[in-house]
Amino acid sequence: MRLLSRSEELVLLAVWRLQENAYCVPIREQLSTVTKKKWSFGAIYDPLDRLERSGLLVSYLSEPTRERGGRSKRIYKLTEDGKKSLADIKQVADTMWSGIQPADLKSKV
Amino acid sequence: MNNKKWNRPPRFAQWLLKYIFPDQGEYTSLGDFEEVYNQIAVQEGVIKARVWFWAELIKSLPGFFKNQICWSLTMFKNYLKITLRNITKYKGYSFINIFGLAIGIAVCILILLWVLDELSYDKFNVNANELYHVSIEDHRTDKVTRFWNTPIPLGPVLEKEFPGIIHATRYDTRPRTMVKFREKIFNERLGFADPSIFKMFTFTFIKGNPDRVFADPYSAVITEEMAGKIFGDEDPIDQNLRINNKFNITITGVIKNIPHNSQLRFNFLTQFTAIKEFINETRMKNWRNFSIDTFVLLHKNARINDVNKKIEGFLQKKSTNKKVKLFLRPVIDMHLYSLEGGGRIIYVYIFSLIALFVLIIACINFINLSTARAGIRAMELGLRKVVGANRRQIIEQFLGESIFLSFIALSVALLLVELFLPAFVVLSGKPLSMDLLNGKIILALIGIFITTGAAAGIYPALFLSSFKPAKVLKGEIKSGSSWLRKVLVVTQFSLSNILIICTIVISNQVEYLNNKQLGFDRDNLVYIRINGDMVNNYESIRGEFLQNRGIKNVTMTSDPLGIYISASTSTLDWEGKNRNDSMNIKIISVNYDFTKTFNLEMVEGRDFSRKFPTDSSNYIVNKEAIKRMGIKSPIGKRFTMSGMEGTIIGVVKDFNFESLYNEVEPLLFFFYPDWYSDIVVKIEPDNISNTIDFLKRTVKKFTPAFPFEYRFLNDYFENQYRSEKRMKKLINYFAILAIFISCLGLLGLASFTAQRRTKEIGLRKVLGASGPNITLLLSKEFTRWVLLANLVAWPVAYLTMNEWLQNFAYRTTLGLDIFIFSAVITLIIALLTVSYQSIKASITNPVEALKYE
Repeated sequence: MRLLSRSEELVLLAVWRLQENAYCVPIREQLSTVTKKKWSFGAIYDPLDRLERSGLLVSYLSEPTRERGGRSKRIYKLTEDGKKSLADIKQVADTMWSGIQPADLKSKV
Repeated sequence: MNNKKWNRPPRFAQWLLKYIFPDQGEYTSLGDFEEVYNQIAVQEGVIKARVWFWAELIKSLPGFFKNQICWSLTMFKNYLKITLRNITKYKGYSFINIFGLAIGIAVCILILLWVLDELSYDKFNVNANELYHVSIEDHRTDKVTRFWNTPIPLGPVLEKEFPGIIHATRYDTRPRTMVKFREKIFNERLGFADPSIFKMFTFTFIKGNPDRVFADPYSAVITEEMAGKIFGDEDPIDQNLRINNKFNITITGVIKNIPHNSQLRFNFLTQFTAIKEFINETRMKNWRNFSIDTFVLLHKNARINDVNKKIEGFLQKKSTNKKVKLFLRPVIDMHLYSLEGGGRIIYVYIFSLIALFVLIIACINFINLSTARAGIRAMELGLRKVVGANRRQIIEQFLGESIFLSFIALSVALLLVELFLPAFVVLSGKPLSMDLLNGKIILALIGIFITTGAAAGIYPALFLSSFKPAKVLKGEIKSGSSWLRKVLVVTQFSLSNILIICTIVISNQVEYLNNKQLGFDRDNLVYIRINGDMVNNYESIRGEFLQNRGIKNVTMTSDPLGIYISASTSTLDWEGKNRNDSMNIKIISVNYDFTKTFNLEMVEGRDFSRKFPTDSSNYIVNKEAIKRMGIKSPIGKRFTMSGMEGTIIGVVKDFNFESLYNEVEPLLFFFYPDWYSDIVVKIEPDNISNTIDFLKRTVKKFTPAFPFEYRFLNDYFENQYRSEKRMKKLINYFAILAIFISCLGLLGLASFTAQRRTKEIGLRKVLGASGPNITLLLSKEFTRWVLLANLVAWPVAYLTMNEWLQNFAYRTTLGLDIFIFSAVITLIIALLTVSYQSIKASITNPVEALKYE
């Protein structure tokens, strides 16, 4: 299985969560809110591109909207591989975390 | 806050973003940016949104540029490498391409220099656009004639009476005036002008103040060159020069040498009033004698047409000549446009056309060879496309390549120009130089270089870039549309043909002028310049001359016959003249034996003779004069010219006493000692140098203080048609070059055609075609093109040359033979060029050709 980078993982998750509305702007918004830091467009496009090329995502163009200067959105969707990949990550993370309480980490600081 | 309003980023920023972030043409990312922009604008205000947008944009620039430069450098390096490899790989083609273009550009540059020089005449004058020359339109006869000489009193009066005219000056020259300084004698061109000339024309003073140099009537301004010759290192100012052993002038100023592109030519210039030392004083006030130039400077706002209207009838007030009109013409036109129409401007056109033709021919070569070679490059292009080159890149590559080649050609061309400029200077008789500081020439060079490169590259670029890579790689390519190549070859050969025809016609005309029967004998005639007391001692000199067996006849005259006769008059009266009759007649001063010396044929009456003492006040006229006067039996009729009464004693047959540009006009012979300028001696054709030695010794005996100066009349003729001869030579060379370049191209094309048809030829041979059959097959195609080119060229050449011939009163014919001859010539040259390739193709072993698959 292919290990994803952290940003790829986050982007992939965001796409999954946003479902039908998964295009660049809301993805960026969500990531910014969750991580409490600014994400540039490049930081989103890049992992999106990579994920699409490695077949975890597919994209299609939405109907052109009246906003956005009449331009369409590029909406992303998880492929089966993508979903499997998310599941794998979850499993890896859970396995790694098993038996460790966040409270333990706190006391060490 | 208005939620409904959609905020859009600044247009310019959007455009910029679009450019640096192409996004595969969908621009969804632009939409993303716009959405966020709107969001920020709604929440935090438009200004913040803008700041954000621009910040994003600017942050992305360094990467973008790095990418761009890096890639374009890489690609450029690659293009350059491929170009150089191609040049070295196909040496023959590259040589033809570059060398052909280089010759074309070099010829263009040389002609450009010539044309620029022709167009520059008199433009160096600060007031060039307001300077006008006063000319005359003569309506006295049915045919309106125009001439440049004006009455002496005209200038000052024009200046006084017409407010639009700021200054006027009279101007005249004496070409070989004897100048004595201490014991040294020089012959220099003396000019006469009014002081206002310094306010009209531009002279660069080295010494002296232009406002004061002509304070004294016998003061003079001298050119640097003449000052150096006469005074050496001494200061010329306030030195005295003795002129013609008659009067003194004082040098008051020194000017820089007059540029070669000036109409005014003199070595030194004195006040106009001093001309009375040279001419009869009564002429100074005579309104009916036309002899000098008059120039005027108009006010900046004066309209030339208004001034012309005002001065048109001015002469009618001053004299009884009702039908003589004044008009002004720009000084800057004088060199190019002759008064009777035509003039050197036609050479300027012909030469510019040649330059254009040669350049077009060279360009066509380039285009033809490049497209023809497309097949060779197709594989490379196919691969390029497969690897990801887009059409724009391929166009760029090919345009770049052809501009690079034309740059090499330009360098070679500059080298060639540098090499051949000295020869061209001699040929053209102009002090031309690659004055690279001249902005116009540099601009023209850059213009030639870029146009050539682009014109030559654009077609191959577009054509090659349109190849479909899949087809190319499968080997299914066509080598360009052949009709275009045919059109180009036909154009090329049409242009070469036009040049050939022009060359032949011009050569014919020059030959014709040289051999035309002028109506008198111009060979072995020596003109000996009259100096000092030679006129008074004429009889003794003549007596001594005639003792020598090498000398046949001796006479005296005022003008070189057959070249130009400077004096004319219309103050005439004759027995049987009607009130309305009028005539302008050219006058030449002669002495006894004139008709005998020049072998002129008398139609009626007799020659001047020593047996009749009154003959020195009698007249001989030509037949044309009798015709215009309209009298029946002219001999013995009373004839009065400018108040001098005499009798017509003889009529000579018409002959060409002026250049063949003009038709024969009325002419009058009479005795007028003041005008004699030369003793004319007819000598035997053998032992010429001995005879000349004898003449020199004899003349020296009578005028020891003066140099012995002589010239053969034939030398004057050489001079007369010098510009035609130059034209002939120059056009000869250029035509040869043009044909050479065309043939280079044809050679390339022929080899290409043969190559393309290798398989066909091989098959034909296998099926039994013989070598000659193949040669014929390949030559047939080119023959058709060349013949078609001839048909295109004929009408163009005919019209151009007909126009040029109109300059001459006597001209050669434009026969069909010239055209056919040129067709044969081009055909032979073309076939010879092609035959090399076709013979090569026909003797190749067919097996090799068919194996080629």
